Amino acid sequence: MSDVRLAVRGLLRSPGFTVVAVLAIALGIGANTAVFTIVDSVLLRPLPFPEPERLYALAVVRDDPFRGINDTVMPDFLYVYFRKQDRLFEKLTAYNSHRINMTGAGDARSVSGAFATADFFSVLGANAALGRTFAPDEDQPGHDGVVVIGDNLWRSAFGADPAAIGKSVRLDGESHTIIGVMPIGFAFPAPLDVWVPQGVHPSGHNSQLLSVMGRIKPGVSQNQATAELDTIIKQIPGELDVRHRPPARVVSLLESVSGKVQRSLLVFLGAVAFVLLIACTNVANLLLARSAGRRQEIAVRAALGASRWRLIRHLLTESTLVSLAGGAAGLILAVWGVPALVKLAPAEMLPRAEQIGIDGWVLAFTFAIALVTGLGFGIIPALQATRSELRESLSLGGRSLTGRHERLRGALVVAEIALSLVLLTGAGLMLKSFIRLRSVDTGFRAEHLITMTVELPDSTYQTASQVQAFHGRTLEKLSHLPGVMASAEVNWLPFGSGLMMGDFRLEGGRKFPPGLMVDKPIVSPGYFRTMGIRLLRGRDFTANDNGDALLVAVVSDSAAKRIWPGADPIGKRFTEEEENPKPKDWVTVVGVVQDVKQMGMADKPRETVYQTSAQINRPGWLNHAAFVVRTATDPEGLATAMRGVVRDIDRNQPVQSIATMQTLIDASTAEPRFQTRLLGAFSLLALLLAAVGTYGVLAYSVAQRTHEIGIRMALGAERRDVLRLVLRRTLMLAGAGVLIGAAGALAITRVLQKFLFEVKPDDPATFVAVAALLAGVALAAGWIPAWRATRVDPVEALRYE
Amino acid sequence: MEPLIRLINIEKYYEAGYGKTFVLRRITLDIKEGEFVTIMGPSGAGKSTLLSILGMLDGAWTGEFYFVEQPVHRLNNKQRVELNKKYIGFVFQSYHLIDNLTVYENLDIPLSYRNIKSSERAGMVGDILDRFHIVGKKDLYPNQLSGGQQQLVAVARAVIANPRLILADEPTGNLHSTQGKEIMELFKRLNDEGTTIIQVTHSETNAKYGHRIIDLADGWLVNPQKTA
Repeated sequence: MSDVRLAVRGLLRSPGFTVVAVLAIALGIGANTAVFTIVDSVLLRPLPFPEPERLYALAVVRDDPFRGINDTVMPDFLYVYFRKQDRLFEKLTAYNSHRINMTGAGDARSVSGAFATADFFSVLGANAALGRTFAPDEDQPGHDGVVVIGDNLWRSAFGADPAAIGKSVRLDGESHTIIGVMPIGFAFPAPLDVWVPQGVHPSGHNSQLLSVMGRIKPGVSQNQATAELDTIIKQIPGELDVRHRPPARVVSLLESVSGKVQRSLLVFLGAVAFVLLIACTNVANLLLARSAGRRQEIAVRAALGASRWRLIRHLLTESTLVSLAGGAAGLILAVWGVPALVKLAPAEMLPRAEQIGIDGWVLAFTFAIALVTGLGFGIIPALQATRSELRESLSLGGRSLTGRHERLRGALVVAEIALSLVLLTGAGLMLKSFIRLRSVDTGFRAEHLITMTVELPDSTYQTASQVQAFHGRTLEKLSHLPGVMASAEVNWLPFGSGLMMGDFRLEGGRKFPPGLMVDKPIVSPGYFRTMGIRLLRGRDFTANDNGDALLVAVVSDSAAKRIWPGADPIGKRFTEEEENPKPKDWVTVVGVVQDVKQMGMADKPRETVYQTSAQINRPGWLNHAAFVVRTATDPEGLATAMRGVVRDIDRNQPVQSIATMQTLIDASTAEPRFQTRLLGAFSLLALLLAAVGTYGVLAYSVAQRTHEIGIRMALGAERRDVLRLVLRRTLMLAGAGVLIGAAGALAITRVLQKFLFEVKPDDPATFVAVAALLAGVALAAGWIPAWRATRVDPVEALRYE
Repeated sequence: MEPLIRLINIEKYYEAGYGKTFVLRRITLDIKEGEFVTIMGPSGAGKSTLLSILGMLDGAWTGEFYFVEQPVHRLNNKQRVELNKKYIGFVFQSYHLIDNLTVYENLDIPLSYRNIKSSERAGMVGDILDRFHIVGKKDLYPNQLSGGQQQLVAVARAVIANPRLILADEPTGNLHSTQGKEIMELFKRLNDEGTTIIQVTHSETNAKYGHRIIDLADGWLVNPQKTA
């Protein structure tokens, strides 16, 4: 206790040292606590369901962060087949998230919802807070007119009235009775407004990708389940696209929810650990300088009988107090920082965002790292300060010991620079990758484009002609809005939320490339012109390409090359009909357009076959539509008027979303932008700490060497010689730090490979640029002490040796 | 023949409150090449300050100072440092060797500031080690030497660049009498070989090694022509 009292008194006597040290540690621990809070909440905490370890996602994993689809999903027919054969799961369920139009509870609104099979809630073991969840047969046609709603919607649309149970709402035009309200915090697969029962009924060429999860029987292992899924996929009859026969994967539901961000979060955790290490070396340096100044005191204590252990304990108490105070301040920083980080993260990046918060584990983590940190940065200075020869140096002045301290401080600066270099290289690679990503040609001109997405319910708009009439009227009205230069419609927009894919039958027995799935957007005439997509050959769709005319298509450049390699695609024909197509079923290619990025900037050129909406008679292909409008002025100003157009045509029809094309593109790169910004912020913090550390060591070193500099000046050293003396040391420290750091970066930046676009983890330009930056910063940090050294007055320096 | 050093009305003072505190007052004196001059006086008389001015370490003074016929009072700092490098060697009371450099490296310092090739420097350091009989000590650090040995190295360092003038500030102040005598004998030899020496000392015995004594009191020159 007396150690603590003495340590507190000692720290209060040096407020400058204490504040700087506590601040450095607070920044390090604050960043660590904030990131750990997210890691704990997202990756480590079990899902809030009974026996969560028995919940698994069954998947065909498409593991590519730059493509839109990167969830654990499987095609609908595979789910149905597997469900019939499976023996190892107690229950299985398939689900999909969508925006859904809701009417009948105040204004028409677009709500977030999931269509799920009846077992959805029973697999999770989740019960309603009010009412009930789905009954086993409620996903069958005729019984599926029910809905379970989320707590948020219950409060916002029904004023938290228990009488909401039993009320009817129209979802996408169909009547559904509210049967239950989920408890606060129920957020699976996300914080949704509604859960609608829907069975899985696969059909034809165009399969739907579903999320599938199940509760495994007790005693069954993950490996057994994987083996079973693998075997069953291989047994599936018929000729299947190779892409639908990937190795099966059964992953824990927690991993399927959070696996996508696992690597990102671990990279951030690594980055903040580096920041903490740098902060620690800074404080260790401060402590070394402080202990050098306390040599006399330590020597006196030793002379009065203090054992070395007692002296070390005294010094360690001080460093631990600093780190605990830093930990407490860091915790406060984290309390502020966590919500800011979550807010800064793109909406879809962080799963379980609603569960993120500081809990007992986080507090324990913070306390533990504060304790370890305190001992870590305190031990070397404590050992140094209590070396026996030092204690014996009461009368010697102990100048010869400066060298050893100097070397240790130098080593700490080298470590700081090396650690910063690793972080900065990571950030540099991410930045370069991000710049490359942003400079990719999308294939269209995004400026002055605004988009409006509308999902027409098939209960109200039952036929293709009804949908086409709505679209026609909307386009007509949009074209008359002031400032509109062009407008068009497409069912699934580039950088939108989805797309349709499939294959075709080619004319003349020609084989469609095996494994190829082409994008199948449906567009209105004028779409290419509105979007600024270049027509390379042939012609665009016209108003004459209607239901009575010859069916026509425009294909993308890569589709033309892949489907008809070496041949002119114009005039070539294909059909959607598998068996006995009639003459009118054949579609003729009339034009070729340039490739467009559909799902993201990093998307490879996609084979796309465009058809025109007037020639499509399946309403399900047209219900989802995006209207694209090119404006002469700022496109955002048009949003209200565009909403008004839809309201004028159908008062019950909500607009799903309105966004400029640029916003959609920005959103598609939000994740790499967030990663780059966060890593950049941590690196800058590291750079700042390293600069302060380098400055501190050199300033201290110059102060210690004032006498030597005085001698050198008396012996003929000019100012530039003195400048060189100090800067040479700076350069040596920086050089050693850069070399060690570069070696470390080469090994460590490999973990970033997955996040990098067209940049290799060992990109020489980035390494050189970062090394130069760091050396420059170190030189700048060393310049002030060096300049101060040139101002040393030799007479004074020699007088007060 | 012009003297090696000519001082005319040299004054040094510090601003202190409303007035000035003088450290040196109207110092006028000549020192010829080859002289061995002793500056004496009580503590605070201005002896070390005068030595600093003569050694170009102190630039804040008034008056006229000619050194090897150069008007030092008109030279800038860089030119003064050049004069120091070319003509002057220093010996201090507390040796002022650099702790973390070996004897060899300490001797090399003055040469490193004089644009001399490293091979030539090695030869010069070797010569001086030989001449001062300290070859065996070349790899030792200052704290491994006795006070007398340290001062011997300091003198060796002062003469290594063949200065025309050696300035010694109480060179035997930290030494016992035998060691002090050896150092003074050494100065005498150097002076006999033609090096001008100006020493500051309290010791009458040491003063006797010189040709004449300059007495300072409260910054004033008391007796410029007293012989030793």
